[in-house]
Amino acid sequence: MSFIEFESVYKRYKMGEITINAADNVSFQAEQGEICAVVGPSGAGKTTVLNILGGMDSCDDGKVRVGGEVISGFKRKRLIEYRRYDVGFIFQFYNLIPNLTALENVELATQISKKSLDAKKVLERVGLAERLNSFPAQLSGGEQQRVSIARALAKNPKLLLCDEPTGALDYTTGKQILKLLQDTSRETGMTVLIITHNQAITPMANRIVSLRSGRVFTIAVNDRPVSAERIEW
Amino acid sequence: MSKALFREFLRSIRRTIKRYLAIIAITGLGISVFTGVRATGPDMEATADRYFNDNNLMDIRVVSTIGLAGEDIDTILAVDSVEAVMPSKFVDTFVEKDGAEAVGVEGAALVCRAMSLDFGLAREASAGADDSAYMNRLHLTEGRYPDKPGECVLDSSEINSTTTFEIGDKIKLKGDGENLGSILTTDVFTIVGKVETPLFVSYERGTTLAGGGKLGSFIYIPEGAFKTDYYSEVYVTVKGADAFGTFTREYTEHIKGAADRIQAVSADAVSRRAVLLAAEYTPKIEQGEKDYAAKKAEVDAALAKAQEKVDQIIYYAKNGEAELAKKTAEGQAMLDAARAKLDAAKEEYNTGLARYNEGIVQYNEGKAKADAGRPQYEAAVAQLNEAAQDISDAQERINRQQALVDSAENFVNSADEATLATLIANLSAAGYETSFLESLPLSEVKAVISASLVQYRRVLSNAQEKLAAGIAEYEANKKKVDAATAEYERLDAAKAELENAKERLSQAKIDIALGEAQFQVKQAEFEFKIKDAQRDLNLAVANADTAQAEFDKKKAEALAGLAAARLDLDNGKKLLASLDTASWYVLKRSDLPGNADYSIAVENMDAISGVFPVFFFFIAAAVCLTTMTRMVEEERLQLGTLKALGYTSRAIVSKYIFYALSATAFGAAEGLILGFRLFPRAIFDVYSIIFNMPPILLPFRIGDAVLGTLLISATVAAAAFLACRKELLTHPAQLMRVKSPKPGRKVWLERIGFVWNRMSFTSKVTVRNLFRDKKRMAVTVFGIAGCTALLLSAFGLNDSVGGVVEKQFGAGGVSLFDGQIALSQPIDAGIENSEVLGLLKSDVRIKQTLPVFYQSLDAGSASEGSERMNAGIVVPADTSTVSAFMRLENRKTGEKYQLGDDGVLVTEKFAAKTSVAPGGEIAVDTPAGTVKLKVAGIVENYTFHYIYISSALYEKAFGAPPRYNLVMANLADSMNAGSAADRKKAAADLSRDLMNMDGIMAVTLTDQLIESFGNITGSLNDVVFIFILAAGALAFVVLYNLNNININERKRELATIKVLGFYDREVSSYIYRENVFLTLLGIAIGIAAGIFLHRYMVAVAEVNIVMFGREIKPLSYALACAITLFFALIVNLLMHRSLKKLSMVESLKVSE
Repeated sequence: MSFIEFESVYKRYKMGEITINAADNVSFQAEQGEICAVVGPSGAGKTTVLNILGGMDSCDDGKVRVGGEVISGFKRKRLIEYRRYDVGFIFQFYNLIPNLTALENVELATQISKKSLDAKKVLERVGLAERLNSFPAQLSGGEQQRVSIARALAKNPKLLLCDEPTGALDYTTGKQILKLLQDTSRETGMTVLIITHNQAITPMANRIVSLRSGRVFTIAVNDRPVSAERIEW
Repeated sequence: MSKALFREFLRSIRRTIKRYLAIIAITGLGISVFTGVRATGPDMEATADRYFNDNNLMDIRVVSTIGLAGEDIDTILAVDSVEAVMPSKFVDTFVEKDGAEAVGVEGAALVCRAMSLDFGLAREASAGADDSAYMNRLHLTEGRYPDKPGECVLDSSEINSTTTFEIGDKIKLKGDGENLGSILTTDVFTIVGKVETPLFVSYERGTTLAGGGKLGSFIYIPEGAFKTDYYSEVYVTVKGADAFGTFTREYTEHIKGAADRIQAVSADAVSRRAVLLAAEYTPKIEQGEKDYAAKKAEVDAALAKAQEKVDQIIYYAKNGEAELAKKTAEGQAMLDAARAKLDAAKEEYNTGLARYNEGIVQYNEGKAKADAGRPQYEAAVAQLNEAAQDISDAQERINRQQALVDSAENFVNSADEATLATLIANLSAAGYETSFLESLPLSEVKAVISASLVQYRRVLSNAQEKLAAGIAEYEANKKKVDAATAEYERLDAAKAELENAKERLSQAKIDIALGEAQFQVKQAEFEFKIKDAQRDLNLAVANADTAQAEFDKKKAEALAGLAAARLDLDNGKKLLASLDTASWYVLKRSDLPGNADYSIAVENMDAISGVFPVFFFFIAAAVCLTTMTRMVEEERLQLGTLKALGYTSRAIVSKYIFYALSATAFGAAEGLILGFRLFPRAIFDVYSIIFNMPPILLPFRIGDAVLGTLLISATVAAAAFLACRKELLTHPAQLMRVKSPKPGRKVWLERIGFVWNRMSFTSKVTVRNLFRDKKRMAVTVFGIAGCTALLLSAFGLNDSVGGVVEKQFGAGGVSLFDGQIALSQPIDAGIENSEVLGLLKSDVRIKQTLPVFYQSLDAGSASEGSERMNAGIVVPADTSTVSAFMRLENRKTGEKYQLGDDGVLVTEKFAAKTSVAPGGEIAVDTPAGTVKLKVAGIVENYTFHYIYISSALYEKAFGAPPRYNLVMANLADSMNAGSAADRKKAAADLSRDLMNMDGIMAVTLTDQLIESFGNITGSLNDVVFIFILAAGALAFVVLYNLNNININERKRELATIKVLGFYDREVSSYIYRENVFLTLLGIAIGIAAGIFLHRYMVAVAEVNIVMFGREIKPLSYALACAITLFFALIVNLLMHRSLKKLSMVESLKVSE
């Protein structure tokens, strides 16, 4: 049994009389400790997959299993707990609380998690030992994304969900962030799911799920992922 | 605006529907309170105006103490600017319905004013005529107008009466100190209709000299029902008065001119009538007294005669009674004796019966015993009889042998040989051994025979002896048997006796039964006889009673006739006595009962309207303004997009301005529709508890409507414009970017390490958030503070208004006296000699009295051209006891004043209005000129203005000693005992008794005053309650709106923490903390602001003659806080719901 299992997942939006299938019979698996890249053009349903997987949205049909549990059947409370303890999110626009310092943003997550890591240490690990007391506005984009990653990691989740983590970053910074993700996955065995429209990232993933118009187009398994430092775009 | 932009405008409304509706609601609320509350006073005034004009309410009412004759009416009509006159007659009476006196709500007899009216006028007016000579027009609420003298229409309001009257009821009028017989043609009237009149706008019906001094009801009766040839009063309308609003200064001035002119002609008219009356009444009374004396003598004589007759009848009746009693006693005694005898016989019979029964038992016992012994006895008898035979046989034998022996002896002794031989032969023949005898000589033989005879004799005596023993034994046995026989005989005798007794007993029983029957008959006979006698007696007594009743009735009639004649004479005398002091009272509308109260109510409303709704309105406008500004800031992205697409700033701005204008326009429309109807009507409804007015007029007041709408629309549109301009000035590219959220910053609190470090993480977050957006914080605090301030000031106003009566008249208030008694003649001759005062003092219900000179004069500050105010001059006769009647103290310093001769004491409001301070001077206008007085102190007081002057100072300043015309009284403690109803009854009784005393004109008890004041201030309390509701509604809408803005602005942040896995309640509390803090801060500031607002409102809302309390009660603080918190709680609950529904996906998507 795989760590992540998508089984004929549907997500439909009704726009007046038209029904749009944001996810149309999506099925794929990803193994524990893998880096799984979900790629596809805008509107292919990547974010829908991420939202469902992250417990932020529900699917209309099909089953989603994470670590053996059917999260698509979770009740509201259980779903919150799932987000709270099992999932870490990294957004394109970081979504840091502007009013909290880097350290406090991380603490915001560790406050509520049971098996959380020390906020300071995590920040040191992502290379922000010097910027603990800086507010997001005082940090560069890459630094903010690092805070975001630190906030996700500090919860010590089973699954790290990244939505276009490099989308708002320059090339070098983007690569550093990807490296950080890859290292984390390798060091902690954490499953990482990266959503991107950037095909160049795929070589570093163990598995590449390609979506088009809400359907799974291809699933490729990469036995020899390259180091993030070596990918280029 | 292009089509696309318009469509976008509609969408943005749909998108921000909550906000749009909030603006509509807040605008609506603000405008409705602003226009509605401000319209209430004018609406009430307009309603009264229309009511008075439509019904041709009099402007002036002239009342004369000696009545008004036809010439007087003509005199008044001839006065310049008098438009029309309507003379009227009236008499104040008690009312009886079904033989029971009608009772007023105070518990005293209801006093009703019967007024004359030409109902022809009323009927014509109903048909549409507008005759200026028909004033104070009636409105039939039911029934019809009277057709004949014995009919009347009644006051439609029965609020003052505990007795209810229906159409068709017959009422009987009863004069109080007046002989109705010489005033009215009939004193019985049938109610044929009920009416309202503009003369009485409240439940007050005015004062009277009759009964307890207060009128409770009125009836109108046809003029023909009056016998009198003069009028009691005349109503006057003044030319051009209708043009002025009835409560305006212009109206008052206009009327004052006419009133002064009428007053000016009054002296001549009064003396003219006085002369006529004197001429008419002097001989009339002289003759009347004579007639009265003659009539009285006649009546007395007739009555004495009748009394005698009745007494006789009564004597007979009484005598019969005594006889009957005697007879009854005798008969009863007889019966009792018979009864006793009978009872004795019964007793005897019973003992006899008992004894008999006992005898039977004994006999039976004896008999049984005897029967058992009978065989033995019979045997014994037989034996005895046998023995007796034996004994007699034996005796006989013995006797025979004795005789034989005797004869033998004789024979022997006398016998010769021959004989002897024969004898021997015989003997031998008889068998005896005689052989031996044959050989013997005679003598020998003789001897032998003698010896044998002796021998024989011995045998015989032995036998005799033996027999004697046998006899003895027999005798003994016989005795025994005899005893037994006797016993048997005794038993038989006993039996016979028992039989006898039984017979006797049964005879006795029969006798007793007979006796009982006889007794019953006797008793029945007796009772019948007594009853018969009683009936006869009753009949006799009844006759006597009837005779007595008839006599009493006749006597009462005769005396009533005399009393009526006496009353007429006395009243005539009084009239003659009063001719010297007779005058006209020229009264105005404001003197009509309830009229001044209504104008006070209007003034109150106007005063409050100047503050509360304005403040309310500004809070509403400020909140709308913020909402609009926020909205523009939130939509900057769109602004940028549109600008980038090439839309002009003007077009973009117009969208927001249109948004603002449409929302405020809807709100204003709603507010105007509701406001002009809701508030005046609701407030008027509250007042209608005390006022009886036609439905309120609700004109659309264009001024306030336009002003309010313009103000709020302009404010909100300007806010939209300014916000847009600020955004549009920046480069479109920058606009397109997500507005960089305000950078986080260290707050000053973080620099205080020992505080900051001790705070929990969430508290730190809260503090940061609070300080991050100071503008929002300020707006929220402002909104909450505004609402709390409004609530607090509304509650406070309630306290202040409600406290007036309590503080003036309540326990521990300023006026300590329990009542004021107005005298009809001032005490001039010295207090010690005053009869009235003596009477008052002798009444046990009055504890203490203080004669006072009271005069209402215009006064002001002594400075040139200062404004004058009506104030009461109070000169107590005795300064030493003043403190028991009024508290003369300074409210602020607590200083207690003694009324001295160096200066006067003025009341607080008067001092404030005239700006005089202790040491300053006031001027008092008297008819003789202006008097200047030095002010020694300022005393606490809440209603009306008073100037307290010592009698010495008064005499010095005014040049004449004070003429004490009023007596302040404190009541005995017993008057305050018992239930409220008891106290009310006691007060009403006292009032009536005092009014019945000579020399007393009016009685005002403080309790009654409190009640009538309480009614007015009480309704103001209810009005305040409407404000509280409005303020509460505003608090709610404002809080809701601000929270909504808050959530909208921080959607991303909230979605992020939701994604992080915060539970629903954790998400809510993330915001709650801020809200709670802001609410508490807002309440704190609001209370401070509310205290000031309250102070301002009280100062403005006060009517001239009333000083409201200045304090806010702790409960009001608590309520203001509690209501604000309550709304905050509800809003937070609603917020929790919308936070729960907040979609993470949607909220985070914005950036894509």
